[in-house]
Amino acid sequence: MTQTVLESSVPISSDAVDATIALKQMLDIMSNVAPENRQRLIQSLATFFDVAQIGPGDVPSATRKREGIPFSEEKILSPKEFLFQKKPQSDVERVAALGYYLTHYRDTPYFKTLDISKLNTEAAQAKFSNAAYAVDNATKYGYLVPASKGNKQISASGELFVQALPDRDAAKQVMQDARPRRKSKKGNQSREKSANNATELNEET
Amino acid sequence: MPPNSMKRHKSKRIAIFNHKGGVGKTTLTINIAAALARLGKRVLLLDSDPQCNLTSYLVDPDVVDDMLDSSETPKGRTVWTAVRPVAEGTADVKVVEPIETSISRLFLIPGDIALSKYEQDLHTSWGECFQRRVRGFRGVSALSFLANSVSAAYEIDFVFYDSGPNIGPLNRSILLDCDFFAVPASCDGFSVQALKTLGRTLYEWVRDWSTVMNLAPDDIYLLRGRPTFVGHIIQRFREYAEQPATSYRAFIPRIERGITSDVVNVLRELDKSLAPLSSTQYKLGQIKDFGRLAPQAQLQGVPIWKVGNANESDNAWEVFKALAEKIIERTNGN
Repeated sequence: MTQTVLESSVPISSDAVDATIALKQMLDIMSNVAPENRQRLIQSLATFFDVAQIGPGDVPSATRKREGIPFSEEKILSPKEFLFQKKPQSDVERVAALGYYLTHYRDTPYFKTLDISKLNTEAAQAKFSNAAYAVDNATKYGYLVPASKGNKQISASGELFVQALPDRDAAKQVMQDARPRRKSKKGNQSREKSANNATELNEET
Repeated sequence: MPPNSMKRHKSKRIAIFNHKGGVGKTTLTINIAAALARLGKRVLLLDSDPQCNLTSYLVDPDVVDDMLDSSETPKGRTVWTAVRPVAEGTADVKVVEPIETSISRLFLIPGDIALSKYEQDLHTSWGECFQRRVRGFRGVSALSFLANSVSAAYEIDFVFYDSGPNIGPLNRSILLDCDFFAVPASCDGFSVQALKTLGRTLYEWVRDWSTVMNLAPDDIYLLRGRPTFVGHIIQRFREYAEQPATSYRAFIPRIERGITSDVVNVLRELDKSLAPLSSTQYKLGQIKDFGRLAPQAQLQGVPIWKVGNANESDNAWEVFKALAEKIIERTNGN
């Protein structure tokens, strides 16, 4: 069946040694195959070429953080496309998304406000009302954290937040989970009070 | 194809021009261009004012500073990056890639303070044109060549030049390159006064350039040299009962008379096709003072209709939409 499909649709040139061309041709062929047959064909090909298949659970940890971004677009995704996918709704969220992009697509884990502004311009976004203020706020909200020499870097929760976008509920949950649990002032006071009472009782006895 | 024989692209080139400052040239340019883009046109903004106000409107100030710092490096992408080789006589125009703005279909070639150096050289280039020197023609038409190349590459429908408030050689080259120009005027006596010199200046520029065109060598890229007047835009007035308030209203007929006598009639002395409409048809629009919306929009780098409440936004959009539609109609830019 594999042979039939190859012969009947896109002809593969004999000098198709380039991986990109080969991939393109394979994608063209596979797009003509019924969805229920694709998995079987891929398995057959993997068996034939003795290639271990990578399932969703086998994704290496280094790449797992990029889930949600189609692998084929990973290298060529422009900042504009990235923001279009993530749909940030405020200046602060846009800063977080741009920080994420700098870290993962531009190999710039440490950046300044100017880097964010430049990338924002490149991404064809409206200018920030006040870029420095937006970056400061992104830091206060926990999307960014200070790095050395006045730089910023994206925080762990910031990364998870951007990864969760455009699912706003999931993104909100990420930030809620990341927020440090503080004991309420009232709770502290009552606890202190009860502790004091206990001490007094002990002393009386 | 050698640059000096490049054909003129079909995009319509327009300047919102008045040599008087503070009449809202830049704000109008951005909003009209954005309205045209919203109506589906592909628009290029070429910031040819060394003050770079238009660029600062659309781009973060720190990014503008960075662009100015790097304009003479290989990474440069301002208007000075493009014309510098011509100004320094080292090469032809370096066609720079425009910035894609946050407004869909609207592109920007950023301005540069160093453009004033180019303006100084334009004095010499203008003289060289009369001596039939190719170098002079290249110098004078450098911005035009840039607009032409980018228009062709990006399939631009409209090019808007943003000009500074003066009648220097840079604005002369810009106006002579335009297919059309519109005159913004504020409701005050100074605007009325400025119209007198505006018409006469344009007359002299067009007349001199037609002499130069007759002297030009064959197959050289030239400025069009025939800016057609599409109308005036009265603005910066307050309203009362949806009409311009009394103190502003007094200036409107004076501006209209000034446009007819000092611009339309003067251009017609030279060539009737430079002001082809009848005198009553030149009012392109009337734009009230949008108050806090204008600085808010400037702060956010968006058109005026993108700020304010729904009602204010709708009103602003209707005003600029009507203006943009009129420009499309009058420039035959379908």
